[in-house]
Amino acid sequence: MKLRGEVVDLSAVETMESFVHRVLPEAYRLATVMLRDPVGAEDVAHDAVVAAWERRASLRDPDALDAWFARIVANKCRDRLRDRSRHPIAELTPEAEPRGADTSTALADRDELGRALAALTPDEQIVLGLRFGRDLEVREIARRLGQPEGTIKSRLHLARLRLRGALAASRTRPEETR
Amino acid sequence: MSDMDARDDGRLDRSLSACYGDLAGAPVPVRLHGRIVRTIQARDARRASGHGLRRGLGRLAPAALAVVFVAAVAVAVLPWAQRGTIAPAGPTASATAGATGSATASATASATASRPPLATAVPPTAAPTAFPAGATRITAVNLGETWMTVTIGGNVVGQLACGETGTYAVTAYPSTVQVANDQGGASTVLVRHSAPMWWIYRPDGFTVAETAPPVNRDYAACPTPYAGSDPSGVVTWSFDYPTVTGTTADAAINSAISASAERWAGQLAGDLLTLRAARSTPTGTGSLTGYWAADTSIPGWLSISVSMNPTLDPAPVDGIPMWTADLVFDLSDGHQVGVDELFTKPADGLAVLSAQTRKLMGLTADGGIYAAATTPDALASAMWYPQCDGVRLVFADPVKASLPTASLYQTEVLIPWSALKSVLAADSPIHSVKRC
Repeated sequence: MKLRGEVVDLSAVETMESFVHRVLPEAYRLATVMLRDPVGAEDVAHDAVVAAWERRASLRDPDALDAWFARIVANKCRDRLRDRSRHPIAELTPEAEPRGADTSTALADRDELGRALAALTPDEQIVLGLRFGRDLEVREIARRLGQPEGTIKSRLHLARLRLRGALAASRTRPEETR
Repeated sequence: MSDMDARDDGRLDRSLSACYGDLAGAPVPVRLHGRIVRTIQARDARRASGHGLRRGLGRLAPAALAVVFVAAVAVAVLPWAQRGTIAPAGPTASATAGATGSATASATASATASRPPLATAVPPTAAPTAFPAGATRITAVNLGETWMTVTIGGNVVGQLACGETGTYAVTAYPSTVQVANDQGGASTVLVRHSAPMWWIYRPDGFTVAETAPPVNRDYAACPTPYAGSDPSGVVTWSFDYPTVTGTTADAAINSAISASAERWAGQLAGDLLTLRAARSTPTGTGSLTGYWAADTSIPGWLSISVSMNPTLDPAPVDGIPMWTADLVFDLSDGHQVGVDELFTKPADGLAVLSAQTRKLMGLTADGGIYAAATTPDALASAMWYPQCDGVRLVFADPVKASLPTASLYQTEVLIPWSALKSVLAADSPIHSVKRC
């Protein structure tokens, strides 16, 4: 059982600015891979760090800071991804960009993959971000999100299935619809 | 799972790794730290304002007040206790390091007060780097932090003021080395290639390891305190702005930076006085704090991101957000670089920038409420900042243009490099920032 004094210790010792300095890089990295959107990640990182600072007294085990914090970031990302699915943003296609090298197969594939990822559920996108963006194993993802390993495995499996289906469908479409 | 499924999953996983890999190393945007700090400060200020305080005190029983007192004592005492245990500077440290911290530069002597004792140094939070076998000493130079802490083998062996270089001997193996800014962080994105910076030497003097590419190690951008008040003394300001030393255009750059600091302090103080005068009872004091971050990562350029935080007490006025500005200097002659200098043909480049800005801001083709601010001509003098992922432009909010604090309301947009590729000048220093 944790003593109350340990809670006071955590929140009292560290200044606000050093707390922000310490957790911000991880917040931004997590949000970037969960959202696949560096600009949106700024807002999420901002909101998550502010929320974490204001709720820091609720963290009973200082050793669990990373998991506690990852859940805050994931919750913020989930909200944003849900909002994005309700209000989709038009995809940027730079008008000035010349067609040629950048319309290579690799980039086209990347675009297809991006669209397929965006069609996944927020939870699936978050799990994929942690798996492939942060290179975390299933057990570690489960720990950080506070969910059973089986849930994470299931989400990864379903996400892969849906991605494969979406990519296969897009490749069978007529070329002009790309 | 069939073999085909397994192969498909393998291909898909590789594609996903490549897709996410591009994002994994994204640097933290330059202004985000300051933005978060200001948000928390503003929320704290609102909570501490009369309404919240009265409500909070009314609920506190005497016993709870005693707990608050104990917690306050803990707040005052624990930081010192913790620092003492984390960063010992006893005989072990001096014996291990045999430190000979030598100040070889004195660029910022005026910016640094008395050197803090080692025992109070905030220890580095970054993972230590293993010391190469055979290395005997480390040379560290502080090119941008107020204080830089050098740790060898887990012991703090020296603190360097901005502009100083220190050399420390290492006698114990295996050992590790860490450097940190004055908050314990390895560095900030803003000064990622300049400070802290260190080299490890072998007995023959050959450098065997360093933490950053050898760029821009020849000049420093050190924090210089700036404090003052308006003539009435109602609004005070206190912040640090960078002063450069070691470029061929120190005087021109520093003159422009200090003039900007004076101008913005005066302008924002005026805004706060206007707000104060508009109150039914014009009382209270205003204050300005600021965060000026120097980014020396682009060879040939110095970029400075400014965030100012005006407050008006008591009862802080809602809706006074940060005030930001961007300065980019050419180190060869000290002139301030305009965004149009990014392009082979400025007119073409600004036209593309205008179209992309309006598109990304969700405006109509003619720019809507930002029509005037987003024309190619207007963009030539826009506030801009080069980042790894693109050009960041900052605009005043035209909807609030009639308010006395119009300069306090701003919005930003990031134009990705990919959208500008066709018009970027081939010889622009900007091409180096794209590699960060």
